[in-house]
Amino acid sequence: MAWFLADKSLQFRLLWHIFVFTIGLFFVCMFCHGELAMRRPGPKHLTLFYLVVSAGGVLGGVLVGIIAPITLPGYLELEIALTVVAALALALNWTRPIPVVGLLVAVTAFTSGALFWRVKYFREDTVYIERNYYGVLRVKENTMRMDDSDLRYRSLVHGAILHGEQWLSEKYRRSATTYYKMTSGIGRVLLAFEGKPIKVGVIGLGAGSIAVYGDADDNYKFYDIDPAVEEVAYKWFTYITDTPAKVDIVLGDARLSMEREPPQNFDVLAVDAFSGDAIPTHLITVEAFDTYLRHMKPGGVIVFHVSNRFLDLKPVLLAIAESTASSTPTCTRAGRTAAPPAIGSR
Amino acid sequence: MTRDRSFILKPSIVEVTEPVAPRPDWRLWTDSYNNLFQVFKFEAELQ
Repeated sequence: MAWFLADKSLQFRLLWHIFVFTIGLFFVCMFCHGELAMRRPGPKHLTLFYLVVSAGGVLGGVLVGIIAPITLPGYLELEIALTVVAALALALNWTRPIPVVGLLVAVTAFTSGALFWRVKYFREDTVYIERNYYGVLRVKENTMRMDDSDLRYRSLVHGAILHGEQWLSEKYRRSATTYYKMTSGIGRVLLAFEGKPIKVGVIGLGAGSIAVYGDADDNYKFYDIDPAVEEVAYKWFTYITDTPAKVDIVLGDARLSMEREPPQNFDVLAVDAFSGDAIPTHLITVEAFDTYLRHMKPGGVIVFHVSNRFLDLKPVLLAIAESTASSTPTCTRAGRTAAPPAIGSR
Repeated sequence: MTRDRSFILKPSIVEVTEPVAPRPDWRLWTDSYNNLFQVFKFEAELQ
C-alpha cells in the first residue's frame, strides 16, 4: 500500500489500487481487531472496555473528518495511518523472535519512507495549497526551465488532475493552453464565432483558461462550486483579469444555479467538469441537458470536455443527444499545437 | 453538440471530428440512473 501511495507512476492504476488496498485493509483490520480482542479485560471491566472502543471510533471520525482537513495541506491521512499502524505493530511485537521484529522494522521504515516521499513529492514545485470540503487545490510552478523565463508556467492541479496552465511570461501568458488550445474542440468552436459578440457559459472555472478567447464585446459566465477555485483563478492566474470580455462568476452547484436563472441565451456552453476521477453525474443526465438547452440560443453549441483517464463518456452523451433530438453530436480530438510551445496535454 | 448542422459541418470542426460508437445496450443517463462501471475504461486500465 505504501508503495502504491508513494509511486507516482502507479497513481492512475485504479484496478491495481482497488486490489492492493482491499487486501491491505483486510490485513490492517485483522491486526487491529486481533490486538483489541487479545487485550480485552475480564467481564468486570468489559463495559468500560467497549465504551473506550466506541470513544476510539468517535476520535477516529473527528481526526479524519475535522482535524485532518484543518491541519493537513493534502490527503496524507492514509499514509500517516499506515505509518502509525506499522509502528504500533512493531511496538506490540518487540519481544517476538528476531525475524519477526526485523520484518516489522522494515515495514515501519518503508511506510515512514513512503510518507516522507509523498510529502516531498506533494510539495514539489508547489507555490500554493488550499484544502477544503471540495478537495485539494495546488498551484505549481515548473522549475525545469528556470534559465529561460519565457518558458516558465504555472499549473492548477485539483487532486491529481490538471485544471489549467498558464505561461508566466508577458509574451505568452495570453495564449490558450492545454485542453483549451486553438486546435482543441472548445478552441475551434469559439474561434468559429470570432468577429461577433458572443455569450459563453462555462461550467468549471479552473484557471479561467477559456477566458483567453474573450473579446471586449463578449460575455463569459463561469459556474463553479468551489470558492477556492475562484480565489486561485484571480490570485495565481491572469486569464480572468487579462480578458477584455465581461466576466461573471457564479459560485455554487452549476445545475442548481442554472435552474434558478432566467434563460441566458448562450452561444456556447462549455461543460468542463468531467476530467476528474469522481465526476458530478448530475451534470450529465438528460434532465441536466434540458436545463442547458433552456439557456442556449437557437443554434448554440454545447461543448462537453470528456477527456478522462478512467471513463468513456462519449456514448453517454450520444444517447442524451439522440434522446433530445439534437443534431448529430461530434467528438473533437484535443488539439496539439506547438506554437507557443506545447505544455502538458493528455 | 448543436442543432445547427451548418456549424457542425464547418471544415475546422469536421477535420477533428471522429465517430462515436453508439451503445444501444446502455441505458440513458437520467437523474435516477447512471452507471459508472459501464463507462469505466477497463481495457485501458488493463494495458
